[in-house]
Amino acid sequence: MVETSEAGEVFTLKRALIEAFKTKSGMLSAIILAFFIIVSIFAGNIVSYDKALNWNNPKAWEELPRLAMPEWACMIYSKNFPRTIIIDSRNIEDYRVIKVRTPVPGRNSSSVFIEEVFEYEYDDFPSEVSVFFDVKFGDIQPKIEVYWVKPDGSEILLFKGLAKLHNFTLYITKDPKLVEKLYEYVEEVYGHREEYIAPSVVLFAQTGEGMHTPETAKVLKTDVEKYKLRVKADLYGKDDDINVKLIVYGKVHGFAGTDDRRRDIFVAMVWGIPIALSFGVVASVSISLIQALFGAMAAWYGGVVDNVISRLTEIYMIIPFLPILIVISFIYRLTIWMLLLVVVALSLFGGTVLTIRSLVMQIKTESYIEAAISYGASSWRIVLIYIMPRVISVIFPGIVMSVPAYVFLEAALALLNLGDPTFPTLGKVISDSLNGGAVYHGYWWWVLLPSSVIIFIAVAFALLGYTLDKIVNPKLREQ
Amino acid sequence: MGAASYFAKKLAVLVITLLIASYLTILIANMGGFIDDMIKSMLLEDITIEVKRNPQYRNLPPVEQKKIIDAIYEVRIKQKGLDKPFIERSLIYLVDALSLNLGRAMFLTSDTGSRNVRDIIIERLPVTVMLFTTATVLNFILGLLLGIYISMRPGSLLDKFVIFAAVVFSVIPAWFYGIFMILIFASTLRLFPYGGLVSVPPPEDPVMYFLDMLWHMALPLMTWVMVGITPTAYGTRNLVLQTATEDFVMVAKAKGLPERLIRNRYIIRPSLPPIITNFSLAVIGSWTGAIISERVFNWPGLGTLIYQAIEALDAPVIIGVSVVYAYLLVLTVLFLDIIYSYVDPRIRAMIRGG
Repeated sequence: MVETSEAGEVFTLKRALIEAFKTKSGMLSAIILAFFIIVSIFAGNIVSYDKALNWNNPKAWEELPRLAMPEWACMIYSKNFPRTIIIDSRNIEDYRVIKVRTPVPGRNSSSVFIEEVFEYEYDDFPSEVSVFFDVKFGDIQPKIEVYWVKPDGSEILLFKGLAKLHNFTLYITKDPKLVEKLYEYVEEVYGHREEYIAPSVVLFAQTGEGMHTPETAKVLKTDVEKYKLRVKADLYGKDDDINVKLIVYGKVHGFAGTDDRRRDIFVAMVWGIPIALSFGVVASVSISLIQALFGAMAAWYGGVVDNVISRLTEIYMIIPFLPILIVISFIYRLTIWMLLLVVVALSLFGGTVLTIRSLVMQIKTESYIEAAISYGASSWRIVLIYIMPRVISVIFPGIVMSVPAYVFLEAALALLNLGDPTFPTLGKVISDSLNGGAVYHGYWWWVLLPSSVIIFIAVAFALLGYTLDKIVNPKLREQ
Repeated sequence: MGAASYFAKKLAVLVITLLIASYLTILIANMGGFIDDMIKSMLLEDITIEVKRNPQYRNLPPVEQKKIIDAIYEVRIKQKGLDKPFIERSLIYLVDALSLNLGRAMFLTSDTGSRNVRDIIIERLPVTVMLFTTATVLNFILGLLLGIYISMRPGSLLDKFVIFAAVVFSVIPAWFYGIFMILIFASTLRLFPYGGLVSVPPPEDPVMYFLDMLWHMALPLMTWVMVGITPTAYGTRNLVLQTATEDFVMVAKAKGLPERLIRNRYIIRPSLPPIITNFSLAVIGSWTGAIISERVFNWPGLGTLIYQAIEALDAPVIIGVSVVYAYLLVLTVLFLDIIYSYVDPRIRAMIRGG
């Protein structure tokens, strides 16, 4: 079938690659692949491995905004979207924090005053506001008051009550009880109660008519006066203390934005690349080599061996590969490396066996093989040392071209929620985005960014494989 | 070799494939005793219901009932051969699977309320087959025509475009393009629905129902045809061009036969068998792709059923669908083999002669 026997038509791998990189498409794919390989090597330097390991741990992501766009979205919409503002009173070097402790003379109690002051110069309202408390107390629960002060001087009482736990969070814009305070504030300004208000808008809008929804409200930017979060606490023990972390969640984050569980998509993109590459390359190389070896054996030994291998191949090619893989991953919940093993085991025989079988049928009759037989080389020696190298240069383009298929196979399983249960992969992020209604709600970054990484990987391998194919198997060269 | 033995051989391979695929599924699923537990709990449930409904036992105290249930259970286990060693047991399961005796779903039900896995699958099957067959037939016809067309104009702009598109489309699966098709045509342009079979609530008028279904089918169908045409056309083109260099074409040209006759009888017809072989491989591959495409387009066929079963942790359904998929693939190959034998003159001659 494949005519490689004419002089000058046999390519070594190295020469084929050099030839390929001389062409435009080969060059392009080499650049893309080089980029991905560099990212893979330095993945740990770009994003720490811990972040990827903590992918399913909500605690690790609580400081990030939910469903934030990438930061460069500001350029697309030419609008300065808010970044996330975090002020922690434990951080005494932060100039935005004022913390004053006034002991009550003669007693163990004291009153603490914390003020966190910040500027706000964005064109849009933040997504959420939360206040995290870290309170140390003994038998008596401290009394706490939390105020929001706008630059125009209006002051809103957000919370008044006892600290019942050592660590608790006030979800100012989420908790219905706390949001009620904002309803009351709007009622005070308007003179009547509104049916619906957007809490994070009320906190950052110019006080007055229309401040309750993002459509009608205007952002109150800071000038001389700033936004302030004021916390007053009465502590009753000697060692009692209180600290406050304010998070004003923005609408943009990092290079790739976040998902609906506040996770940084960039982390999954960076760590998804080495996983996708190694999964695809290892699967493709090992499957092709195993199949090629079976093909060569079938042709070389003939007879029963040939019959068994050929029939098995016919059967393997019809077996419902994905449904069986689904049953396996469903029952055993495979990690990505176990999945790799199973995929290889399910692909021992396939199309490559047939191609290589007919190729080796031809090689078998060539004179250098006859020479090898005549000096008494063993069958294994001939197959492995004299035939396989010839075979590999022929199947090499196919190996390169089928790498994306395995990358997509992993993504396909992830899409059925059968992906690796612990670690983020590109397929898993895409699956999450579909589950989270990203397509429906227009969270474009969540779908498009991880998808584009997969597309670039796929196109690079496809182009390289195609270019190599034209060089190694010139029969397909366009007329 | 006569026609009978040719088909017997083909059929034997297919039957063996079916056996191996089903048996593999059973072995894998039962490695941790999964199927054993499943079947036993189904049996126990059946007997419990039977005893509780039986007027003879209904009024007995629960302890007595339990004894009766256990006694019947022991007998039934022996009857069904579930106490036999695994090898024998697995063969019993294999026979059950092949006769589509797929047991009961744990959570999912069919629209008619049945918990029988077979009923659930039979309800979904036509939905998958409808989309899949339409897409496959369209792909084949359009791809073949396009391939023949560009093979007569090698090197033209269209030819180059088809080659480029074939590389791009064969390397990225249809379901992946599906996500982008939804983004473009459903969320941005709002021309087509996001997914599903019909609108909710479905139209009452049968004509409107049919049109509504076509409207929902348009996007997945467009995606599959878009992705499938150019690789088919590219393969066809290469095979046709290869045949065009054969000696018998040269002879025909030398004889001065009309161009049309040479093209139709001497080039295209001999190229058809390998084209169909190529195409059958693509069809087998796309059955797999159908599972994921359905999930992306929320098309309520077997693929979506698998997804729902995974979400509901419904093992019997997943194993059942796997067995049904083995049947589907084998039947597809059988069908394509029959078409192949019609097209390939050697086999046709054999059939006539044998």
